[in-house]
This record gives sequence, C-alpha cells and structure tokens, in this order.
Amino acid sequence: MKHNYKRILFLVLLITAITTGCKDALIEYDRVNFNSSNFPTTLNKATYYSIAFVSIATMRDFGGWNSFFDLIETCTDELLIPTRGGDWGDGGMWYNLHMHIWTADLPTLSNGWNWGFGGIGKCNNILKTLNDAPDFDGKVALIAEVRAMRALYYYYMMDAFGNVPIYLKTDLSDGLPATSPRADVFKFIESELLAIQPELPAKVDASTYGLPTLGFDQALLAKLYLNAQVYTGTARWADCITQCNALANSGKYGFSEVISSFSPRIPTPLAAKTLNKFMSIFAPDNGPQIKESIFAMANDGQKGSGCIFTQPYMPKVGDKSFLELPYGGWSGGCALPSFFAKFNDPNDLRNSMWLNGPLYAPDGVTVVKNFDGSPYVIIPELKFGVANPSVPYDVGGTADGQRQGVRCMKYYPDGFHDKQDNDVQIFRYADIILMRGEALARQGNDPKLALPDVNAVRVKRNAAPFTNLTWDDLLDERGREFAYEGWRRNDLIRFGQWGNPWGLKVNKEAFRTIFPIPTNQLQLNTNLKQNPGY
Amino acid sequence: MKKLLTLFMRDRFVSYSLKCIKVMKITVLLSILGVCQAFATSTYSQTTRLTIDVQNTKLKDVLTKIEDESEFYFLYSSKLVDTEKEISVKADNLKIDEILTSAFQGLDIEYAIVDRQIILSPKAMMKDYIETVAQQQKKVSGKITDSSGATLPGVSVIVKGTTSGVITDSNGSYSLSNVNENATLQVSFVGMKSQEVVVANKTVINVVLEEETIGIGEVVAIGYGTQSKRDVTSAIITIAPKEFNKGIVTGVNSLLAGKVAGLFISQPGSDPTKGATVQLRGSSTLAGGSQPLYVIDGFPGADISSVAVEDIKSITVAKDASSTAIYGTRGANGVIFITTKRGETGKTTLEYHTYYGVETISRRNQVATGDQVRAQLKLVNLPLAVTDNDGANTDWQKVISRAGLTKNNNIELGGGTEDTHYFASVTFNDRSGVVLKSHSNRFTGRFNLDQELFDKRLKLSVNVANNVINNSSVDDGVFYYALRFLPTSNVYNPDGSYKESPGRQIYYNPLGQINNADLVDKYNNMTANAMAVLKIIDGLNFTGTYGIQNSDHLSSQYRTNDNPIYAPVGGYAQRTAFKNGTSVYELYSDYSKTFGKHALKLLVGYSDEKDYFNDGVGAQSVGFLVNSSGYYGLLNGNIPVGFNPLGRFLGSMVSPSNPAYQDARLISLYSRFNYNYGDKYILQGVVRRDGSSKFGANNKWAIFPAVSAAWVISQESFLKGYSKLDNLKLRASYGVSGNQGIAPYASLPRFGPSSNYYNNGTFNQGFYYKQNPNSDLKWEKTTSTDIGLDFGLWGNRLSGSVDYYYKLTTDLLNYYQVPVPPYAVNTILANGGSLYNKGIEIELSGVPITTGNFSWKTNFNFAANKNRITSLSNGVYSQSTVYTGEVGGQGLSAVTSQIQKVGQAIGTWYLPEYAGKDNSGASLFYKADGSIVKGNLITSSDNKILGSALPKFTYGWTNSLNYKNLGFSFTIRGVYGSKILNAVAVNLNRLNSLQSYNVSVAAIREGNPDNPIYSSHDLENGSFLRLDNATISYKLPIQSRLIRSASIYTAGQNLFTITKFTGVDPEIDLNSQAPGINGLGSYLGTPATYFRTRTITIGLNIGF
Repeated sequence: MKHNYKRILFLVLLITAITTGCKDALIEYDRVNFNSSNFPTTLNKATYYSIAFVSIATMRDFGGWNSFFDLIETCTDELLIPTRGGDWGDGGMWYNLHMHIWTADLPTLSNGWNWGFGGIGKCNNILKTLNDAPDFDGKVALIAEVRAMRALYYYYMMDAFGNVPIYLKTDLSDGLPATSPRADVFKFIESELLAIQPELPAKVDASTYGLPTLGFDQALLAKLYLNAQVYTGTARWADCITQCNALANSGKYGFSEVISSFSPRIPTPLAAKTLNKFMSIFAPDNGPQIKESIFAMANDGQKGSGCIFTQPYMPKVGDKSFLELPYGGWSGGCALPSFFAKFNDPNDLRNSMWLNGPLYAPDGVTVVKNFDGSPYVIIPELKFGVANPSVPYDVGGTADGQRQGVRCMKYYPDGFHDKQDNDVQIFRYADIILMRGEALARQGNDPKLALPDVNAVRVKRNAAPFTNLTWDDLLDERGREFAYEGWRRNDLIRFGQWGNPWGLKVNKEAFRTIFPIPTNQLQLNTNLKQNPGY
Repeated sequence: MKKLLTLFMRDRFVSYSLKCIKVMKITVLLSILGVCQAFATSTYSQTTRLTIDVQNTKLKDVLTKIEDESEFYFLYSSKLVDTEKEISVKADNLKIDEILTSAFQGLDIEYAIVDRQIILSPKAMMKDYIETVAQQQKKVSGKITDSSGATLPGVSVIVKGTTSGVITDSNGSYSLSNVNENATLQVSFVGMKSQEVVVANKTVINVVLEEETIGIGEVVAIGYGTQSKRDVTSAIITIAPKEFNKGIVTGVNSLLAGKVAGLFISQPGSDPTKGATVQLRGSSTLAGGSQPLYVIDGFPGADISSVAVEDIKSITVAKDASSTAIYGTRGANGVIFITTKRGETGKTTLEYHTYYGVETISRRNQVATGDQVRAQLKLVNLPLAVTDNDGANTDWQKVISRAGLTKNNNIELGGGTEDTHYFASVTFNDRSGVVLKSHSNRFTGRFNLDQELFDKRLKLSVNVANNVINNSSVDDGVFYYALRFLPTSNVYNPDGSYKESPGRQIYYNPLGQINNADLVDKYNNMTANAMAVLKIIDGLNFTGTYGIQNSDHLSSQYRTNDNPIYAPVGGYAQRTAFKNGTSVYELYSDYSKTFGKHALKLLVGYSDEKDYFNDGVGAQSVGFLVNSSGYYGLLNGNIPVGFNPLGRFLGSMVSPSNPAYQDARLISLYSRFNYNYGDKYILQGVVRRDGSSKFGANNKWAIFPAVSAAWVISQESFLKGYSKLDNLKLRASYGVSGNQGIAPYASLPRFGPSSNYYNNGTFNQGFYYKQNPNSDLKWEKTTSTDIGLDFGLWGNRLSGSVDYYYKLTTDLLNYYQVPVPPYAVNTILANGGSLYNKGIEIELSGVPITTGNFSWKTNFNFAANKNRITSLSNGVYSQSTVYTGEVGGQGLSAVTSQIQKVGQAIGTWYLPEYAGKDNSGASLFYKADGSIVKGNLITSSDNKILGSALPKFTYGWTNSLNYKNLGFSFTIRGVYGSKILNAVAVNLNRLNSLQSYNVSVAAIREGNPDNPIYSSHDLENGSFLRLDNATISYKLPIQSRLIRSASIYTAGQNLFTITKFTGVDPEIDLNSQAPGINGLGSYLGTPATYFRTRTITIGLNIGF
C-alpha cells in the first residue's frame, strides 16, 4: 500500500506546484480601457489636453434633463413645468420646486449636486495628473484653465447650496471633507481666480473659444463680487466694477452683430423673424464669431452635447408637421404669464425667443392642428385649477392644456439632433455691461446710475431706451436679456424678490434662498452639515 | 481465448491447498463465474450435445478432448482427482452430463456443471458442496413489467450480494441460472423503484416495477463525482425526466417549475425567445449575479441553452453550502447538475419524441373599446379629434396577436457494448409566440461517447453538443402601445399605411412597430468536453477533463424608413456580432477504501478556467432608400456627414451595445472527504481554494470550507424493529460559498474615453477615470447552515424531507455611492453589508394508492423564505437607504418605488399610502405627519414601507395517477404573500387624457379625476395558484419486434390561475434588484410582460 500513498502525495505536490505557479495568471489586463498597466506613464502634450479638457466637457451636463439647470430655473418665475394631464407630474418634483416646498430628498437636488461636485472631483483628479506630469509647453496655462473650471463649479455649488465642502484632494488622507461656511467658499473661489489670472490665456479668438480665458476669470469674479453681499454679508461693488471695466475696456468683446446663416428645416417666414442679431447668439451655428461670448460651452449634436434647452419645452406636435424636426417636443416647461408680460416692447429683438400664437407648418402659412383638430395656438395664459380642480397645478392633458404657456426657443433647435448643437452661453458681454450698471447703481444707491449701461443693451436689442430706471426695471431688463440662461434665481435673490409670490407659489421662507444638502450626500459624508431650515 | 482461460483457471485452482478447497471458496468462485454466464441466453450445458468415442484413454486426455471439441473446461486438482486412470467412453450426440455420468462410472469422481465449467472432485468432498450449495442452485426466469403491464427491457436483475445478474431482453424477459434458494433478486431500472424478491422455491419470478421519484439507493450527482443518495449529508434534490413538466418547454429551468422546494422558477409571460429565471433560497445579492451555477456532465459554468430537454437523464439541485462549496466562489446561488443520457450496454435504442402545441392568450388587460371611449368623452363633453375617430372598435391587443404554434421533434439513438457506449440525439424546436413576429427556432445536436480501455483501467468520455438558435422578437413597448392607442382608430390608413397619431409621445401603431422592425438574434453555442478516468489501483482514480464552450451571438436590427420613430433618419440598421467563450481543464484524483464498517472517500483536484466575453464588433447605419435589403444592407445607407456610428443617435431611440472585450480566469484547488461508518454515521468535509482574476489585487484568493454530517437513525439497532420505518436520516451542514458574479476589471482604476472636448475648432476624444479602483474588492460570501430530516415510511409509501436553512451573505457586492471629491467617480463597487435568507422547505412524496392496475402518486413541496438586509455598510462605505425600482411612465419620471434599508427585505415597497377618496372622487394620501392630502402635495418624503415584493412562501403539488396504460398527472403551483406594483394599471388610469390615450375599463368605472401616483393603492396581491400542467398519457399496447414502446399524450399548461392580481401575469422575476414591478416597457425603464398563454400540446413517444 505504501507506494500508493506516495502516488497520492506526488499528486498533491504536483497540484500545489501548478497552483503556486499560476498566481501571476490572475492579474487583470483591461484591453479596452486604460489603467496603470497599459496607460503610458509619459504622455505627449496632446494626451494631457485630452485629459485636462474633460474638466470643461462636464459643463455640458449643466442643462440635461432634471439637471442643475432645471433645479435653479424651475423654482423661478421665468420657468415652471406645469403638469399636463398627469404628464410631468414626476413625483411632484416640479410642483415642489415651483411652490418652494422642496425637501432634501428631491431628486433634482441630488442631480445638481452630483453635476457640480462631479466637475470639482474631475478637476481635482486632472490637476493631480497635470501636477505630477513632467514639464511641457503650455502646462502652466493648462493647470490654470482646469483651476478656472473648478472655480466655476464651486461658484455654482456655493450659489445653490451655500455652505459646501472645499476639498482639493483625490484621496481620503484628510478624511472626508467637512462643510465650509459660504463666506469661506467665496474666499476660496476669489483667491483661486485671482491667483490664476496671470496664467490664463488672454487672447480671444477661435483658438481660445470655449476655453476658460482671462475674460472668463474676470467675468466670474464680477459675478462673485456682484453677489458678495448675499454670499458673505459684505458688498464688493467696487471690485465688481473693476472686473467689469477690465473686460469692457479690453476691446476683445462687444455686442454681436452677426446674423445666423443657419437655415435647415426652419420655415422661412419664421426664420426671418427668429434669427435676428440677438437670437443668433444662441443659434445652432454660433461659435467664435459671436463677439459677445466670453465663455460658451461648445456643443456638437454628434460629437458632444448634453444640454437640451428646447426640446423639453417644445409643444407635442406631429413629427413632420412642426419645424420638420426628427423628434417631438415634450411639452414641458413654459414661462409664467407675469414673466412673459415683461417683454412689453414690440420691437424688442428678444421677443423672438418665445413661441407664442399659432404654430406654423414648414410652409410658414398653414397652422398646425392640435390633436382635437383645433388650430394649435399657444396662449401665454396658464389656467391653473380649470382643467382639474382637484389638481390645480395640472393645466390638463387636453388640447387646451397642451397649448398653455409660452415656450422658450432661445436655443433654436437644429432640426437634426435632440442633443443640441448650440453652444451654451455662460458669460457674455451683455451680462458684464448690466452687472457694471447694477454695481454702479448699488454703489451709489440710485438705480438711475445704471441707465447708460441698461440703455446700451436695450439699444442693441432694438428696444426703446429708458429715460428713468427703477430697481424693478433693472431686474426686468436682466430678465429679458438672460431669460433661461440660468441667472434668474441669482438675480431674484440679490434683488430681494425671492419671497415674492408668483404662479401658485406663495411660500416666502427666508431659508429657501439656498437649497438643502441632498439627503444622500449627508449619508455618504457625515461631516457635512445640513443647511439651516431644512 | 478459451484455452488461455482454461489454463489460467486450472492453475489457480490447482494452486490452492486441500484445506483451501472449502465450499465457501467454491461458492465465491461460482459467483465470479456467474458473471460470465450471466449474459448467456440459454444454458450451454443444457443445449450442447457431443459425440465422443474413446477406448482406454487416460482420463486427462479425455477431458482435454472434450475441452477441444466443446466450450467446456474442467476445473480440478490433480492431487485430488486421479486423471491418470484409463477409461472408455462412447457417446453419440449426448448431453455432457450423460457423457460424464458414464465416463466416471466406478471412479471416485463427482462433477458439477456450471454452464461451461465443470468441476471435478472426490465424491466425499463434493458431497459437502452439493449439500450446501449445488442442490440449491437453480434456474429462475421471469418478466419485468411496469405498473401498466408494459414490459420493460433493459432492467437489471442481480443476485443480491453478488455481481451476478442479467439485463432483461427486448420482451422484458430474463433468465438466471444457478440461483441459490436463499438468494434475493434485486430488480432495478432507472426511474423505477428498485425491488427485492426472495427466490425461495420459485422458478418463475415476474416483477412489476413502480415508478419512483427518488430512490434511496439512487445515485446523485455531486461535484466531481456521484454519491449514493444514502450517503448524502446535504440538501440535494434530484429530479428525473418522469417528473419534468410536459408541454411546450423550451428551457431546462421550465422543467423544474414547481418541482423543487426553495427553487423559484419564474417566467413572466410566454415570450418564446426568453427563458425562465431561477432563484434558489431567496435573493442573496445586490450587485453580484444571482443565477445558479450549471454543471452539465461535469462541465462547470456550462450554458443551459446547449441542452435539449429530451437529452436530460437527471437534474440535481444542490442547495446548501456543503454541497456547493466544492464550487467555491461560484456556489453561493446553488448548483444545478445536469446529467445527459448515455448509451447502455447491449441495448440499441432508437427513440422518437414529438409534440405539437398551440398557445392562446390566457389573460390580457381590459381596456376600453372604441364605443366606450366615445361614450365617455361625450359624457364629459370633450371632442375626439376627427383624425382619431374612424368609428372603429379596434382591439389592439388582438391586432398584434395570433395563435402560437410549437413543433418539437427529437430523435435519439443510444447503445453500446460492454466497453463502448454512445448516445446521439437531434432536437428541432420551432415556436411561434402569440405576438406576431415573435418566434424562436432551435436546433440542438448532442453526442456522447464512453470508451473503456486497458481492462477497464482507463475510461474516456466525450460530450459534444451544438445548439443553433434563431430568434425573432418584438420591442416590449408594443404591449403598452397596444393598450394606449385609441381604439377609435383604424389600424390602417385608406392608402394601406399604418395609421399613426402624430403629436403624442410614446404612442405608435403597435402593428406598425412590429412590422416595421426586424429584430433578429442568432446564437450558435458549442460545448465540448472530454474526460479521462484512469484507475491506478482499486479505489484510486485519476481524472482529467478538458472542456470548451463557445457561443456566438449575432444581433441584427432593421427599423424601416416607414417606421415613424426612424423615418426622420431614413431607417436604421444595426448588426453586432460577438463571441463568448470558456475553457476549463481539471485534474482530480479520488480514492475510496472500505475497512470493515468504515468507508472513506477522498478527493483532491485542481481546475483552471479561462473565460472571455464580448469578442466582436458592431456597426450601424442610417438613411435607407429602400427597406428590402434590411439589416443585410448596412452599406446601402446614406450616412450623413458627422454621424457617429458608435454614438447615441436620436437620443434614447437607439443606444447600440458595442461589445467591449473582457476576460477572466479562475484557478482552484479543491478537496473533499467522506466518511461513512456502517451507513449510520456519515461525515463530509469540503475545502476549496479559489483564485479569481475578477477581484482586487489584495483579495484574489479565497478559501471555502464546508462540513456536513448525517445520522441515519433508521440504521440504529433500536429502530431496527420498526419495519414501517424505512429511512430516517438527520442531516446538518455548515459551509461557506462565494459569488463572483461581477464583470471583470471591476477592481481596476479604469481610465477610458470620456466626453469629447472642444479645442480650437475641433472636437476630440477626452479621457477620464471611468471607475474608482478597489484593490480590496473580493468575493461575496454566503455562510449557510442547513438542518434537514429525511424520512421514508411504510415501504417508502410516504417519504420526504424537511429542511431549515439560514443563509447569511456578508461582504455584499454592491455599488456604493461615494462622495466626489475625493473619489473620481460617484460609485464604487465594494464589499459591504450583509443580508440573510432563512426558511423552511418541505418535500413530501407519497403513494396513497397502489393496486395491480391503479396507482396514485403525489408529491408536494413547500418553501417559506424570509429575506432581510442586515447591513449596508462596511465601515468605509455606507448607505443607510437606497431608493430603487424606478418605474417610469408619463409624468412619473424619476419616481422610485422601493427601498433598500437595514431591517427590510430586498424588494421592499416604499410608496405613499393611499387614504381613499374625497367627495369629488379625488384620491387622497397620507403625508408623513399623518395628515391626509391630495396627490399633488405628496412627495417622496411621505413614502412609507409597504411590505415586500418577495413571496412569503411558494408551493408545488404534483399528482400522477395511472390505470393500466392510462396516465394522468397534474401540477399545481403557486406563491403566497408577494406584492406587485401594477404600473400598467396606474398608467391606464388617466381618464383626463382620454382624448389622447386609451384607458382601462376600471378607469372609466371609477371615474378617477386624478393624475397617476404610484401608491399603496396600486400594490396588488401577487399570490396565485396555477394549474400549471395537466397531462393525460396513454401507453399504446403495441409490442412488436420493431416497436419497443409507444405512448401518446396531451398536455395543457396554465389551464387556470386563481389570483387577485389584475395584470397579465402574477408571476414575477425575483432576480431583479427591484422585483415585482408589472412594467410598461424597457424603453420606459421596466420591462413589460409578454402575454401569458394557455397551451395545449399533443405528443407522441416511440421507442424502437
């Protein structure tokens, strides 16, 4: 028997030998993506750009569905998403945002937070990669650009959530970040923007279009200083004026005189009416030729796009009967009649942003029919409580319900992609002018001090210049100029009108000027503190 | 050969000393010889006649002469028998005994004839032998039949305690010679209950075998070998083909529905292109895979679609860790062993199985007719668009459906010699579903070969199976379209095109959507494995196996340019082809030894498995002038400049899957020991060490141990007296098994293509982290304890088992949300958290009645399971609550319906609580503070925990009744205590939108003015009881040389369902992380349920 045991022992030894020899066999190698084992350690300059500029690409998700844009816009008076026959009920989130009764569980809050801090996290990681990289031509500017983007994401987060964590690391060596007071976040953003000013590209041309430049830095600083009183309790009007003047006097920017040559699939009469000098700033073919653009998020319907600023609002009409778009509208958001009423100068070019009145077929003459056979005529009125008294926010899924509320067509659809081609304007010259005007007025505590700047904009928009100016006029002018560009909430708060009633909204709780930290973030990071009131 | 054998035998015999020639020895010898004789068709000595004429010749020469002229040979000791004496014999065509009687006249020689062997000894010695043995040897013959009286060929009849025996011939007859009167015959046949008959003074013994479910003596598959059912120490259940569900059965899983306690098989709807899903003993994972491991003929991880139902000999389900730990990191969800048929010695069988089945829709949603819509709109004074009103009453569900037809044909051939066995089968299955265009065509071919070599020291086995599947399917969105499209519309426009209703979303002509889209999937699955078993010494075997599995998948889509969704881009074509493959080699050695009452078995082995996935390419194209080339005409498209063939196109309409190559490797070392003391105390231990490439660098290797023990109480002497107790066994097991059901590379920091970025006029590919690294990522660990009792009473007329189990899963694989920054990406796959499943399983089988012509057998199983999440954190990552189960639906975006929370089960509903209606008929709900408000004031903060989608218990009850040739069987199965969210009903309750969309009949009846909100109102009782299967079969009384057996049957499936659930099918897939949603369609986030059908099948089985 003995030799049999030897055989068994031999087998066991053999098996052990095979196993030990196989340990390296379990090392994984992902052939599709890169990782430490197959990503080159020394990269060429282009590769560093391809990593660094991902920090900008995140801006595209600013305006997707149920995004940060929806969070900061649907709670204002310029955009609300009424329910239409149950459609857009979406668990009450749009109603909650409109009514200012949101809680920290609102999905949109979480999406907004994830977008902004996702961008910040990306910047941190990219900066680590760049800092670790050997020197190459342009490295300093590249780092500055990523820091500028990070400052922008921090600005949006600070503006929306107030007290947020400042965390610049890519590991847990200092534990999870704790909440910083809003004033500290303000200070951090300011110091970053000042520090990188000399390193950012100052040139403004096609080569710097869509990138964070010196102008971007100054515009963001201006925005920061304009709202300094809201953020920190201390006004910084002079600093705001300084930054605005630096931009305005640089000669690199100005009002856009371009008229878009974009034409496909737009009924000619409508196009002529629509694509004026103002609307061309936002047209699908906008780009470096738009002199107003200080910072625009470059989009391409095929190669990179995330924003949907038109489709959610467009009426639901047959696929080929309206604008010949390959996609239908979602018949979602519209403006409150009170906001639309601010567009009261018939010659104002900015009136073209609204889809109002009859919808025309591509021939520009035939009026499209609603699904009950009636002519599809959009009316600004929102008949709350008429279609369904038990659900007043529901204007009805009927043909009449579908046509209520004027729709924003500022980012005119390109007729081919539901993901828009239009570059999204983040900072533009007109904003600098109106910010300067406002800062001057506030500094002198007299709204009329803004008159020259306000009229400069009005003239360019073919609106009659004001002779007198109140604070409300100033706010309304900003409303007309920047509708659906993501600034209305910021402006309403700064003008102290956040507690005003509009639509069905009556809530004026003061703490609602900042959003709550999303519940799931509080769970993930117990060092975060919920904002007061929530 | 004859000579050689003679010499060999003679020398052996001669070498024994006188003392050794004891009767006992002779008996043993006779027994051994009996094996050779066993296969003789008649007794040689009785039929052979010899002619011999010798004068004064030495006896030994006479004997040699007889040996030369016949097949007889003599066994004797020359020391005892004087063969030098001269004798004279004259015989003319006489039998051997007549010749020998005359030859030995006057000599002190006695003889005994054992077929061809003739033993010679002195008379005095033979006397002993004759007295004790020889006189008791006799011939026994008889016929073996089943309870219906049909004869059974191939039944083995063995003399108990010996290896002597025969197999019945084609008439079911057998004949055994030289059987001791004290002997007992063991009669056994696969699928039949073995019987023992004491020979006594009988010479004709006819036996009627009864069909059985699980015999105590039956062999069950365990990993790397088999085990006698008696030795089993863990929770294992074997199912034989007799018990399989009959009717239209396209997958292995469907065979088992309702048959095994704790094995929950579900197939929501009757989509011919989809198989059933399996869950064993509850949900035990959050992010890991939940399918059990399938082992087909020893090939672990085999694709079950490669097996045709007809090819299966038995299915064994291993439920607890002690039986699954031998598969280590893949065992946590249970192991299902499938053993395919193999040829049998001396028997060539040709079988033909065929059935035809017809399917009709058994239940559908009740939506309003055109007249009802018109009447309702008139009532509320709303117009119906002229374009929507054709005065029609279109039943859209009917428009898209038809009668389903299934044809199944199987031919199998098996047989073999003592050393070679073969089995080959081909199966054609063609099934047209009840929804137009849904169709599945399958061909399966299988070949098994076993060859014994070198004196049976080496056994080689080869299994090859190939499976070709062609599926044509429909988007599940058509079900929702069919419910919502206004019934007031015609199907077609006057010009013959499909009538659409533009301007409304998610609203297309369902027939148009079916006919303007070709969705075809072709699969080719090949499995081949070879096994060599080398017997080194008795009891020690060394086994080597190598197997490969290759699966090709070609997915093709063509959406025509008439399809309203794709018309703007001029049609859309997509083709994706990729391969998945596995190769496994294993080396293992097993040793078994019996010392007295101690029986010991040892196994050590090594295995190395390599897998790859998604090795392939995909392509898309748009812009087709004509549709006739379909997806074959990819190059006929006019792709617009800038079209990104890999990118999303037109938003959510198409998101093509681009195969991303992956590979993985699993290296394992395993061992098992079994110890059995007197069939009374049985102990088993298993240890497996697995190394999986899928895990983090710090945790590639894991050890999975298990121990189990059984005490066969009925073997104890104090219970020996109780003849009514056949079996009583107490089992206990404890063990650890794992789950590695995650995609490869999950632990790596993956850095890949990210968004495009813009720079200086061009868009370029950006790169960023796609995945947070987790070098600690490891297997999910399930520790399972099982205590079971098996029993058999009254001759196993009543038998069964009861099991209690507790399965604790720790280190749950879960996608944790993590804060960004510091993390690069906001989720990480990590181990953390735990959950348990505990429950009771009862299996009972009984034979309440069995008489000569009639028998009734019944099987019942019951399983209750309780699932609880006990932790969702691991110190680093934590999530106290996770909201899951996004339902989708118009105006219901981003609404979740379930919660994962400590203390709750997976699939726990988390929705607002319904509080009835106010005077205006508006629905009311409870706020979190208890106040009652209308739906518009309800937010997710008001949600409440409202029970779980998981059933409290499941059960199955099978009965089979046989009267002579007629058989009747039926299976009832059901679940109790599940809750289903009927999202379809909610979305059909939009009376406000009746101008645009059809509604349910219930919506009109209730006159609900509200907008839909998912709430407790829509959680329906998912309990159901279903007559799953009823079969009447008849064995045709055909007995001829050509046809061995023939039977016909008719089977009905899903004959009735008792349920309060109002949707199409209360059967839900439990494997989803958010189970229990009766969804609207994949395009809205939750898959829609295909129509459930009722099936009538007729079938014929013939054996040649």
